[in-house]
Amino acid sequence: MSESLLITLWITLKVATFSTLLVFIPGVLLGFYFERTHSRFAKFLSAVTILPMVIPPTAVGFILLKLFGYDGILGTWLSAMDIEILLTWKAAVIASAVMAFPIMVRTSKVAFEGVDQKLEAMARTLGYSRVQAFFKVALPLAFRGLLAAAILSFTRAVGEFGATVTVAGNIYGKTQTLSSAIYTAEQVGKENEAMVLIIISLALGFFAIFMTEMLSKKSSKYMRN
Amino acid sequence: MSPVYAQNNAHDNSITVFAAASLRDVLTEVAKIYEKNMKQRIHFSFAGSNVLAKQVVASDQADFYLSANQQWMDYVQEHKRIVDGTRQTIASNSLVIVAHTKSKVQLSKIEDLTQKDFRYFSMANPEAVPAGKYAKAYFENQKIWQQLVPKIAPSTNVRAALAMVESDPSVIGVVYKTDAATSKKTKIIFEIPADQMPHIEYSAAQIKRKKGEIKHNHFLRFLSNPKAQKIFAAHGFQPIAPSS
Repeated sequence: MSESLLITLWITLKVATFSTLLVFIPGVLLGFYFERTHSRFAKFLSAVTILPMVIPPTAVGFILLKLFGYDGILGTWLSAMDIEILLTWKAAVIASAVMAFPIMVRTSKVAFEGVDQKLEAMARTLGYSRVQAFFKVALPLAFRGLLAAAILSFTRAVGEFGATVTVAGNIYGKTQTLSSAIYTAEQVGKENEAMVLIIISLALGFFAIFMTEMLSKKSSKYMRN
Repeated sequence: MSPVYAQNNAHDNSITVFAAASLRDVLTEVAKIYEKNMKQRIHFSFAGSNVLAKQVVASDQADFYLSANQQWMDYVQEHKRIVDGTRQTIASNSLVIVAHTKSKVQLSKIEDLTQKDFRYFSMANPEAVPAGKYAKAYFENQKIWQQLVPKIAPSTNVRAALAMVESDPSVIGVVYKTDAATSKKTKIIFEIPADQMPHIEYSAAQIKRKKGEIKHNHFLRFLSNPKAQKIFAAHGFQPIAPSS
């Protein structure tokens, strides 16, 4: 593998890892909330969190560009603190986190669906608080599903292009990720290079999905179904 | 309008035009008049000329292709997709260096660019997109390309490059003069003299289609019509008398 390829791969993994870390905790909490609450407000909030999944990534990119741009709400605030976001790897993390968030929330929700609520209720009767029941019962039982959620979010972040390229650009060695590198290689007619990158993406994607399949296979005996 | 027209294009009274992103505003305006006069709808696809050239060759969707340089038109011609005798130069453009209106960067001569304090230099991909290729050729000529390389932030087309300069005062960039004219958030800090760089010529041609090829090139002829040329001029293009 050439050095330039390794750099691109490193940036991709770095961006995807940070985005996954960013979405993990809020995703798990919201997933749990959406599974156990059926209020209108919860449904409304759920619809809002799913938005990035159903609108074009380029639209997300554009909105982020406006938010983080010089005149943007967040841009003004960040530039006052001397923090540069646009055209940095941080912008790539933000863009892929926004795009991965819906998958994190949805998959976490499914993971909690599999946890028998009676077990939490029993724990409560035995003196656990709600918070304790969540941490000691629901969370451990949903753990495999949550791990799968994290893996899927990671792969979404790896594959993100539209939003990322708009706010982070496509700067080799700084913000160029696997997907923007594939696009560039194709653009400038370096088909072999594109092919190598595609094979890496395939391997990465396959490995991730295979992992989630393995995780879902061995569901705990304390789970529903 | 010509009455022959409707008969010849019985399948669908519309044409599909693949055009360089930098032609977006001018063509949208030209199309309004064309559609009214010719009673024919135009479907546009705007993107970097390189992306379009590849799509034109790979698919059977374009009736006309308008490239921001001659090279990508050559590519389409090499693939034998141009209707004989329809290729023509329709307008020319120039390049300018732009900065955010809040930026303090000033330029009196281009060599100073390497000394200026900016975070990134935004431009269309210098290896693929015409706007980027033209700019790269110019900077190489001025012997400042190597110093610029570490600061280059390449975009997929020239409009995306402009959007980045509009969003961030620490970024400056190079775009077509016509694009700079559309932007209220940026200012031109340097105009690249036309005699110091390759001619930026927009090339247009009718595309051969496997099925449903249109039997006329009214659209191309309309582009050299004084009404259309006036609109090109109003957008900052330098009109060129068509060769055909």
